[in-house]
Amino acid sequence: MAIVKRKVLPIALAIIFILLLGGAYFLSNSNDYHRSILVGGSSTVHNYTLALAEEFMKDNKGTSIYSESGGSTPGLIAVKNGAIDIAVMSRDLEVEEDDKYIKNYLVGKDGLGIIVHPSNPVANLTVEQVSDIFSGAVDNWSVLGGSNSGIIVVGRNPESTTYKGLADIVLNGAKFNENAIIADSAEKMLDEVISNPDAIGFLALKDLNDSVKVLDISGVRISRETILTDRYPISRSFYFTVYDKPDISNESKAQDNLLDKISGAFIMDNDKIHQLKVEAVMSFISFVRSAKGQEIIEEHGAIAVY
Amino acid sequence: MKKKALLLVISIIMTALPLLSASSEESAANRSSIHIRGAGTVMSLIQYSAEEYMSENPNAIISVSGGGTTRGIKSLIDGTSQIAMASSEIDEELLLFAEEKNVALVKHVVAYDAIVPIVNLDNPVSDLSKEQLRKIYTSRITNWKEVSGKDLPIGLTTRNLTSGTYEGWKLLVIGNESVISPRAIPMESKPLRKYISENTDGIGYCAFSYIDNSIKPLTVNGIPATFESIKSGKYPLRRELILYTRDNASAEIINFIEHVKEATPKFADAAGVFPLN
Repeated sequence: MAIVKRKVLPIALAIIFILLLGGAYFLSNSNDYHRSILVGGSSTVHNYTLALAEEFMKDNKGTSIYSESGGSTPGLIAVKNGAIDIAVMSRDLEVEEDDKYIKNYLVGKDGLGIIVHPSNPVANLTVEQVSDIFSGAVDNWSVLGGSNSGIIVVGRNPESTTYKGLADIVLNGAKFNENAIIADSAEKMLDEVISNPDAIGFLALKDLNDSVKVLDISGVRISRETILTDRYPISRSFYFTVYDKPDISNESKAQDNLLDKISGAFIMDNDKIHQLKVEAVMSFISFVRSAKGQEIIEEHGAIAVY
Repeated sequence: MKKKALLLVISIIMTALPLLSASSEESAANRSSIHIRGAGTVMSLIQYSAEEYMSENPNAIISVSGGGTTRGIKSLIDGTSQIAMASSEIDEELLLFAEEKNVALVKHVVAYDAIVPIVNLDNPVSDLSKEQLRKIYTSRITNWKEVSGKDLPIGLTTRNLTSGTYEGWKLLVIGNESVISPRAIPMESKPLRKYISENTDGIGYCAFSYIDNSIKPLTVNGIPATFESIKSGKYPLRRELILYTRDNASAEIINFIEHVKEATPKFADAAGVFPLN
């Protein structure tokens, strides 16, 4: 067994080398070789990226997409450095982060409805008040113009996209109320709020219905339209961001994935590899903006923007 | 054994090789969608208009986001949006960028706005001339007592240098021959307003829609910013609020802009802007 293995390895290596050489020679005419796209950023958008990439790769067998989650800001820094190809972001750029090479493709919008029991007299809250409620800083409805009773906060698992959305848009770094009831699905969230006159919770737009009272936020009602225009305050935008710097250094071009190089290095310079990479990246972004891509975005709770 | 291992290796390589890859360039969906970015000053008007437009045209998707005039125009040039909201004309750098990308832009004026100088509520000064404002913003007047105020150094603030409101201020107040004092602290509208409300020595400026009772708006050359003074052009710091498109904008985009123009009188009050007529 061991002997066989030892003999197989060098032979296999030799064959790999020969095949790659042959493949590379063949490829010099076809312009076609394996592409890898590195994606990183917002943990919310990461969930969408995985689903989008899976569907995209079904029809694009020569492209592999790797997605890492780590926050919008590290994603942006990585794409500017050329360390990754696409930064996925769940917020708008700050003025000082923006420059003329950043291309920010909007791929979806996201909004959360704040829900209470239908008998609750409260009809409107500001984002600050919502933040105080979900962090536990305010714990009685009377402070907010309601009855003199304790507020029952209903939360979601920290891994859920709605929880991440609330933490991101509303809590602004504050800790989520530790005494919250945790609902493990949108249906459970509805059940908890319907069955408790003092409860407050949150749901994605697609999960809202008439069985609960949906609060206005700073006088704005949640709807597909008010989320699309950014007027509803508890909403955010999802972007696929690329860095289109023409004089990107050879070093960062050379960072392109090892697999790309193995199959292409014999015949292509870094510029050629880079150009093919850009084409692959744009092809994936086009897919995300296509009807099929937008359908996947909606299936996962966000609002289509194409 | 050997044969199997070899076959395995070969099959792995065959898969890794890209011979099977079909590069399919899928185009974006044809649903009617318009992405709009840019100046916060124009945004409110566009939000109301877009919501009304979408309720009348259920197949339309109009998304709106801010980021300032510069980002709006940049996004229009690089193709990530179709309409830019702008509170100033396109600056030279962006004109070069448009040229570089071979993009021609068209200007559509949709409303007027006033830029209003603001001070702390405790500041006794209530009027400055354009000339006095220019001297303050170019460090030639540095103490409030020089303009009949207290003996107090002037705390200068400005809107971010990428904002259309700064562009307007530069055009209307500072002038092309002068540069803004490097002592001016750049801020976004709301933080600037808050800063002025908390600092008795401060001066700043903002779009008309940001005026509230936490700060004191100054009259300019004795003229307050009002509906009449802005409409008539008497108020000295009036500017245009603009939507830019590419010269080859689709009928849908032009249609939406027509809708905005028609809807402006209706939404002007809520949006804090002034209709053209």
